[in-house]
Amino acid sequence: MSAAISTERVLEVRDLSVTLGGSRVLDGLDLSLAPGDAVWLEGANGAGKTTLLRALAGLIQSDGDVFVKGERAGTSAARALSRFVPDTAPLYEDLSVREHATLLGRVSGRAGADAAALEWCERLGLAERIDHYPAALSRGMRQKLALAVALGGAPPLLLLDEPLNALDSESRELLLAGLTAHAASGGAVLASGHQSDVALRWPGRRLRLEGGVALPPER
Amino acid sequence: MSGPSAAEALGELRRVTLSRSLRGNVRWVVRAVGWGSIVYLVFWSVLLLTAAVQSIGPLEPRWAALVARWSTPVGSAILALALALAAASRVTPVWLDRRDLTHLVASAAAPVPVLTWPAWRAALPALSWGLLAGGALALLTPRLLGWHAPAALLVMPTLAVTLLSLRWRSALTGGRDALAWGLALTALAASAVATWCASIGVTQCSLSFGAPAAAALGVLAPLPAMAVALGLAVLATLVVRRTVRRSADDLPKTLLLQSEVLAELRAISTLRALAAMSMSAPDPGARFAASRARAALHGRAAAYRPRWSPRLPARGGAISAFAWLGIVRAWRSSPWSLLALPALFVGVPLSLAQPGPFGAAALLPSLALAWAAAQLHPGRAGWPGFAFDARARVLASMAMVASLTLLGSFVADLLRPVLSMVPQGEGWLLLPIGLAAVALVDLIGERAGDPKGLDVWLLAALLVTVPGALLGWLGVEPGVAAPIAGAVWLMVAWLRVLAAPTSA
Repeated sequence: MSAAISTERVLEVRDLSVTLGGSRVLDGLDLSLAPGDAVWLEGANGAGKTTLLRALAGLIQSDGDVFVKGERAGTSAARALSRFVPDTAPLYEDLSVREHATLLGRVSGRAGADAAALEWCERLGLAERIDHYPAALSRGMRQKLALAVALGGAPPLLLLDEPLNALDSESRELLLAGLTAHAASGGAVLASGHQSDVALRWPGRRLRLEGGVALPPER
Repeated sequence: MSGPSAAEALGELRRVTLSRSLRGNVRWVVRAVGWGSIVYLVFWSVLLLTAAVQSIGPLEPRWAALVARWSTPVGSAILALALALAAASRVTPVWLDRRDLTHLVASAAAPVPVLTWPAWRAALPALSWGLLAGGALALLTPRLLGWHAPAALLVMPTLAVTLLSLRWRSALTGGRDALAWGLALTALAASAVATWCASIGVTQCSLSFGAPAAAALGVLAPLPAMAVALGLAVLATLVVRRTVRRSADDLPKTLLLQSEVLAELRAISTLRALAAMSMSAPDPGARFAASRARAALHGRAAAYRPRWSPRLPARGGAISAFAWLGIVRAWRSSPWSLLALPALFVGVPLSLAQPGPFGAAALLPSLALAWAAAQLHPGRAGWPGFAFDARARVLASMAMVASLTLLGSFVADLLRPVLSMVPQGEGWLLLPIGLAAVALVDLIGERAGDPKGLDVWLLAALLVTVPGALLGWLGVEPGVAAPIAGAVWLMVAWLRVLAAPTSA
């Protein structure tokens, strides 16, 4: 490691490389997120957006250095400081919406996370289905539930894979406002997506993933 | 909120999801089958099992003497092999499903409560299989041999849990777990001594070195058997405690990296089992998906892109397009299965019909050797701590096979009066067949991307057995067939060793 790791930075990525089946998907990527940063990650299909987020969450093998608030990615300490929401939200089919928010909020270990997750469920329009099982929810509603649980936990780093895909326009606005507030309170967000209208209104930085590295967006 | 309350919430989450899931499954079974049918099935199963057990009489004296002499060394050899396979394992038997991976890996609770249910989910099938095997031994040995083996009910599940724990530890350490390898090597040495003792007729010596197997089989007196079982239980507990302690501060990285693929594989297996239970045709793509997932587990390129993609004919329109699609899909689903099928239909009947060294006596060791070679295949990652290339790997495997075949030839000569399959002194003729089986597993396994697949080792064993069986069937003497079998091995070895790249 050439330089000291800053605990001030929420996310510090140095020379990150991921090879899948002989193909180099990420190739020496560097990225740094300070408190208050909200980064919108765009790129063509297959550019490596999901791979990057999964590598940062420690779910796939990668080379390079990744630190979350100074903690090496993949360790319990780093995982406790971040939350990854995949593009298709896996939910416990035997838990109702309310139980998801309450139990997963408490499992995250942050004070008030359960109440905050319930509040986010209501704000995102899940109040009427609060005692329903996930099987009774549409794809968009399932996505909202996963996002509500993540936002309720308010970890320093949110890693969101295409969070807006199945959401209606009202929920998109609410989510963008929530992410802006999260960043304003000292957290950091790294979200991927294809929505050009959202990209134009995104409150923070935009980055383009191409050739396995992060570049400034095309003008 | 502090750690303990996160752990409590986790416990509550598991309680709610598991109890609801259990109730839902019971409701589904009762609704689909009905209580009456369940009682009817249980009644007839118990009745048939009881009748089957009661119909079993004692073995003929010559068979009983043979079993009494060889059961302990064979049992201890199987135990040594199981321990070696567990020690070489790089795939974790404990895994998290996608929901746990998304929601629980960031938990404030310690890893142990997160892993408690997944560990039980892995242990329950092992315990069930252990109980089933122990129950079968406890039921059958008194009737067949006059031995009483109640300890088997304790020993076999204990062994199953020990093996599971060793597999877990080995996967977490990338196959470098000193305890697992130490146990495997100790068992291997004990097995060798037990075999040697049995071969010269010193039964007590064989029993003492094959103690765990002897305890399970009921050969030992109840007190030593229980002592051995207790020793194994203590060992299993220590192994589990060390494993849990190792992961007390963090979730194991291997578990996180492998869980998603293992969850996918489990889902595929469940769907295939459900299709089989409902007697409906299985999804033809499921096998390919499972093969791709296994390749992904080991980071092989076969998981991401096809190895072979022929050019679509420029002419011929839809018919040639359909033909191309059929060939490519058949090949990608599993070319080795397609090749193994005709070999199976030709090779097995032909081999079983042959009394000489190129018949069943060659087929069975070939299958065993090919299976063992497939299980011990290191895959893309190589052996732990060593960068063996294909050439060194095949030569080392062949040296081991040569030793085992010579030992097998010696044992076959000992068993000849009973089995009368192998003429005296001709056991060594199996040597080129065994060598070729190992080399073929390596050769086909590398191309298939899944060296441990059933089709790979089955095809390898059949390919080396069929030529000899065919020659025997045509009336060619073993003295002539042996050089031909040797030539087959040399050809395969040339393909694998001489034509192999020098890197693994």
